[in-house]
Amino acid sequence: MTKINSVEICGIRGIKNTLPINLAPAKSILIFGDNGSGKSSITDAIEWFYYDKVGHLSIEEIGRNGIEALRNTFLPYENGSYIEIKYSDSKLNCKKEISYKKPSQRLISKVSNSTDDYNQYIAISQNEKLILRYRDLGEFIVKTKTEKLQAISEIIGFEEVTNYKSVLRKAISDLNKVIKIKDFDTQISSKKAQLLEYLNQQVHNDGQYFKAIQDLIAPLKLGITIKEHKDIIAAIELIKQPENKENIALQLSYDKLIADLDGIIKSFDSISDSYKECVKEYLSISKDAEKFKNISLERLLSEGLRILEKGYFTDDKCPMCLQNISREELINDLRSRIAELEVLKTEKEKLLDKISIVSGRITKHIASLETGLNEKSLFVKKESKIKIEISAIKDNFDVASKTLNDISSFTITRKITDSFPVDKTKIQSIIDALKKERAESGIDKKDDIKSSIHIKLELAKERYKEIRPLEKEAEIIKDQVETMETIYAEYIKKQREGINLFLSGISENINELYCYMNPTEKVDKVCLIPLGEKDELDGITIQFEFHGKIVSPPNRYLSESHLNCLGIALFLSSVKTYNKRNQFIILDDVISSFDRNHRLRFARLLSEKFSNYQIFLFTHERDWFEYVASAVKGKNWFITEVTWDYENGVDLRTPLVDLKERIDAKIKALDCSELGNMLRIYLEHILKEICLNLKVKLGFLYNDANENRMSNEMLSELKCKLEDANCDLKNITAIGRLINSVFLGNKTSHDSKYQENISDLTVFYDDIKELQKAFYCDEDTCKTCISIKYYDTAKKEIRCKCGKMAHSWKL
Amino acid sequence: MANDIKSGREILNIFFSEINSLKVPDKEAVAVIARLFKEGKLSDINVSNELAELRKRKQNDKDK
Repeated sequence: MTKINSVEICGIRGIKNTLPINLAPAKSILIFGDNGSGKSSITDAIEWFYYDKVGHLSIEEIGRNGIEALRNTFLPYENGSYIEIKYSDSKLNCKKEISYKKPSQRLISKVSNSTDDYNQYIAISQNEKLILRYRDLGEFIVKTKTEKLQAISEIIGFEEVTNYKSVLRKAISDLNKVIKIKDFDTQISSKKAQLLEYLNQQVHNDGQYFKAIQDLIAPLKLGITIKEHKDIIAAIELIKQPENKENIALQLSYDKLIADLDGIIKSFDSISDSYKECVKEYLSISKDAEKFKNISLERLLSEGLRILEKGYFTDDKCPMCLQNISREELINDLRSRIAELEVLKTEKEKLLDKISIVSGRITKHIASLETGLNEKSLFVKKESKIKIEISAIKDNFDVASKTLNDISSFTITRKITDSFPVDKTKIQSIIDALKKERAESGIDKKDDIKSSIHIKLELAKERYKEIRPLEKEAEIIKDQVETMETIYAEYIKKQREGINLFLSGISENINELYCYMNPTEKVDKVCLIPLGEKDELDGITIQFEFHGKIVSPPNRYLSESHLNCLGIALFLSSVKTYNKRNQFIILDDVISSFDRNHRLRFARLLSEKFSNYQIFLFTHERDWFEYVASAVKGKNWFITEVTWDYENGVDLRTPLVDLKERIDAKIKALDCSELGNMLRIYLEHILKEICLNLKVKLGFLYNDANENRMSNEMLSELKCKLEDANCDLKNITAIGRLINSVFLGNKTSHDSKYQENISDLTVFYDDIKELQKAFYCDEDTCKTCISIKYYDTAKKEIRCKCGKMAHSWKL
Repeated sequence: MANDIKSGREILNIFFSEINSLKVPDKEAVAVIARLFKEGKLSDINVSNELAELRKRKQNDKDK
């Protein structure tokens, strides 16, 4: 697993001059910086390094995935910008630069490492979750179920799986379309009807065919046994009469025309009904033509929604028309409009699919009628009335085909009705006329038994020759359909298994992390649930137990900060479940919406659950920074502050990282200024943590007042708690001295009439340190406060985490 | 758990290397799909064209 040993950035975003960050060997880093001091410039540089873009800069106005905004604004034109990262595996070390290419003045980037190892590393890393910013926290949670599925698919590289699923599904749909258009059953049954006419028997296979032929030629006593097709040819040789050749050709022509028209009759109702359905649906849809025109707006609306959700435009007005509207209302409005358009789009696509099938069938009939118009049986009589009628039928089919073609473009302007323009009775009358003409022509030579049998034999042979290939073609395509359906079913199964495995794994983690950060809230069993019917996967939703009831979605039940908490849990779970190559993460100002308790728990979560990860933790919250700094001191963390000025750009400086160090520095320097307040704040920090761990109860106060408890209040209640628990700590004198201290109760030194001096403050500080020593373990690997959560029920003792410090405690 | 989770690409590679063992009426169609995937050409158009070619070939073989 890869970690980072150093990062060096120059000329990127707020970082004008070279900013080296040495983390060897693979230290985590905690950075404090006010807004605009340059923390996110570090994140932007790393994001660009890995993904070749910066998400929040990838807007249309900037272009090129944010690259145009990467260079520091004050950097001289000829200077290049770069980020260089050195890793725990030195083969991956790389410098990525961006500079202006002459003479085009276009920004180009290049990397110094072109090895396969590096390229493979970057390709894998691009699929891993490495960076979390505040603005990304709620992003997943507010996505639609389909977008969630897409997002999860992207995390685990499932977009390809989804794409191939569409390919397989389309293949099945296309095969079924071919079957519908070819209409094998109708064609085969028409030809079999004629075979029945010739042979007087049903024929479904070679055996029945040969028997029927045998029966047909029986009266001629040829002495041939019909077992194979060549026997039929031999029989024909024996009985054929050259003068029958013309009759046979003519009879075949009549029969082909009749069979084709019969085929049209058989499929007529189905085609006519489908045609009417298509036209009716089109007419219904086009009643609200405006709505369908709006399908073309879907992309515009989706892009607008994306811009708003990403926070690129945050004003309470529409970015297009600038009309005043709350951002939330606008987002909801866009979502519902897009959902409506998706429904219309699906409706339109289904209709177009139907139209293409009907059109295909009509086109096939048009083709057979066109061929039929050249049949020699239509040239027996000059100016054959039948020919004219067939031509008219073909023209009517052409009209139907054109109408379907026009409505499929959704731009038809003429009036149309759903009545099918072809008359079935006309086709039937043409068939009857052809049969009559055929019978009257005498070409079947009924009076001459030998000729009659010869003609029937030839016709049956031709007809049977046509049926077999059709049956075989139908069998081949049906086998393909069945095969593709089996492949598809297995594919869906594997997709679902893969997703389910990921979801159950990540859900376990999400729930664990969320509940860790929110232990007292009635939320549990957070999980990602796949949605879809019949093994199809349509989307994913987040479900959880809320006050004992299973509910969804979280947006409906949770506050913004809880949703952000869920977002962090999701990100960290993805990291744990799925990142297989990198063991570092960047968390850029992610706790802004959290209250103090949640911040503390989040810090503990990182320390306990991600202790083996290299963490880049950025914040502008001073209190939280100091808390984390004190928690991670001595644990392979680099703690620093960033500052920015015009001259130097971003710079790192080693802060007096926590309050205690600043206090120590002031006392050492005999500097009273602000020291009293700092000591009071320090004492409050300690007391709040002690009271939290010992479950010291204080009277309820609203909001900030609850946060800003006075130390003497907490000390008094702590003393009572220790008495009630009969803990030996009740005897420590520091508590009493602190309660009675003149320094408590004065929040601002300028209000106080008492002039603080360094000696008194030092004594005050000593009392605080004594209090701290009494409640906190001094083991370097522990440093925790004694707590009820480490209570030993057997020994009835309250302990620190490692157990070195223990005191009797009565619950 | 993390080690059991397969990426999309892994699932695809395993699936398409195993489809030849599926019980189907048209083994050659399966082979076509597997080959197209291996060549990175598994698309709507390629599948449609290749299956049509296969049907034509089978039709001609059966007609002989």
